[in-house]
Amino acid sequence: MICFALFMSAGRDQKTIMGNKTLSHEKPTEEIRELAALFSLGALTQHEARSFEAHILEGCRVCEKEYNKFKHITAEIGFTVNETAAPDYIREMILARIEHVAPEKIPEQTPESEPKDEEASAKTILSSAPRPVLTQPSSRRLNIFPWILAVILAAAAALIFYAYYSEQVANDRLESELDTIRSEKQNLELSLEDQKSWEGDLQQIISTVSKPETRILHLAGYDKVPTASGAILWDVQENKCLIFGYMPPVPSGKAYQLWYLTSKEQIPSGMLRPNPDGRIYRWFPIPESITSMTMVISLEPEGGSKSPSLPWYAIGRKD
Amino acid sequence: MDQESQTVPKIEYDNAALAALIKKTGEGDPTAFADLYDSTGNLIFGLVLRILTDQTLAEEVLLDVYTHIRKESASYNPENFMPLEWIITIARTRAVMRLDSNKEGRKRTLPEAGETDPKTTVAPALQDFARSSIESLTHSQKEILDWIFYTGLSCSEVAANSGKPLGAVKTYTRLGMSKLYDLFCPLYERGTGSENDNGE
Repeated sequence: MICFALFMSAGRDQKTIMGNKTLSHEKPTEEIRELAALFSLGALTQHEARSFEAHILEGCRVCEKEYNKFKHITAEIGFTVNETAAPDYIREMILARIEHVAPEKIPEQTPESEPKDEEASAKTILSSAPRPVLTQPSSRRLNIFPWILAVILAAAAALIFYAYYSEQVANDRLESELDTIRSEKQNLELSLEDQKSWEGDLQQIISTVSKPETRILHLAGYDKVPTASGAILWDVQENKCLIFGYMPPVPSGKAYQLWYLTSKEQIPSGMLRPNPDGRIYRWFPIPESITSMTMVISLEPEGGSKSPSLPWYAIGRKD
Repeated sequence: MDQESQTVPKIEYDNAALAALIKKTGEGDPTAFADLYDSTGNLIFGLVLRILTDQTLAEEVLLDVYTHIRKESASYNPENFMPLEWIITIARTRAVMRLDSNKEGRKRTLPEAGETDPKTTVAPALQDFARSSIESLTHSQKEILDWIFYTGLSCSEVAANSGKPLGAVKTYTRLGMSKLYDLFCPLYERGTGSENDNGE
């Protein structure tokens, strides 16, 4: 191919033939002789041979002349073989066969259709001559190539699909793991928040307990809920108390209510709602008039009651 | 130059007679076709046998060649090719096409030439001249021309099969063909028909 490209660019000029500008050579070069010799022997590739033939048909007289020189030589090489007598039956077969093969008629040429110039004569010379052997690509290669291509494409498609499928499966698994991790993280954050809250509560408890004026009341489970436990820290100076401990979960629509019981009255102090763990923690104000009392926790409707319902759930006493 | 000392022989091969047989074949004359086969069959069978190296294949191709000649005879133009050149070119093309259709693909070996047999029927002087011309080439030129002519491979395939560099294959081809042209040129200028040789 490189050789042919060099040939096409070597020693040529532009020549006008039949009004069309065509590229033709001015003089024969070694490249031209080489191509003409190889063309007449049929030793060019099919593409090179067709290009050379087209070049002659375009009107390059130099290349046509070189080809005409060598086309005879190719046949002369065939004279050198030893003549060999073919079997007699071949002669009989050939003569029998040609009875069914008529010579192909050539169209009669009218004066209008006869070649009028040199380019037309080149066409006549090439078309009427036996064509030199054009090197054909291997037919087996031609037949196999599409199959090889199809197999490669199918394998590539299968690999791409497998890679995509594997990627999807891996993505789904990673998404699932990520969801689990996110959920665990959320739980940990809630737990951490809860722990921080509890830590704050403990700081409050420690701070309150360390005051000398704080009174500590034991809050014990009573009657139906002996498992309830806790403590009441009564800050006498500031007249408030902190209740903390654990209570059983409350039924729906119910809540715990704290009462101050004195010898004269039952004072509702506020509602207590344990967290999901059952932990309670809340500050309550204490009326200044109270110096000793009993604190009880009862189970009441969620809005609270005016008087404590029985049974009491926990009790603490301060004399 | 060799051709200066080379004597161009009197060619006894009768171009005009063969051309007339082809012309009559093109007109549908079966006797002319039989005469054409009888005159050229041995040479053409020797050629296709050398290329194909198989008797059965060569017989099949011989049938194919003469069927083709019968079909194409009406379009034969003696101004382009001498009759034997035309027939030899057709025969080589059909034989190489058969090689191309073989399962072996493009991997080929150079067929053996065998002992030269002086027995000829169609054009002994021309055949002798062609043989001596080929023998006057260098060994490399002759070898490469044999490779290309008898295997039908392209020059790059010849390079691959023969182990010669591609550039050398092209150069030997050009030099060999140019030398053969120089040797045959006087023959073409004088013509090879008996009417020319004999001045008839």
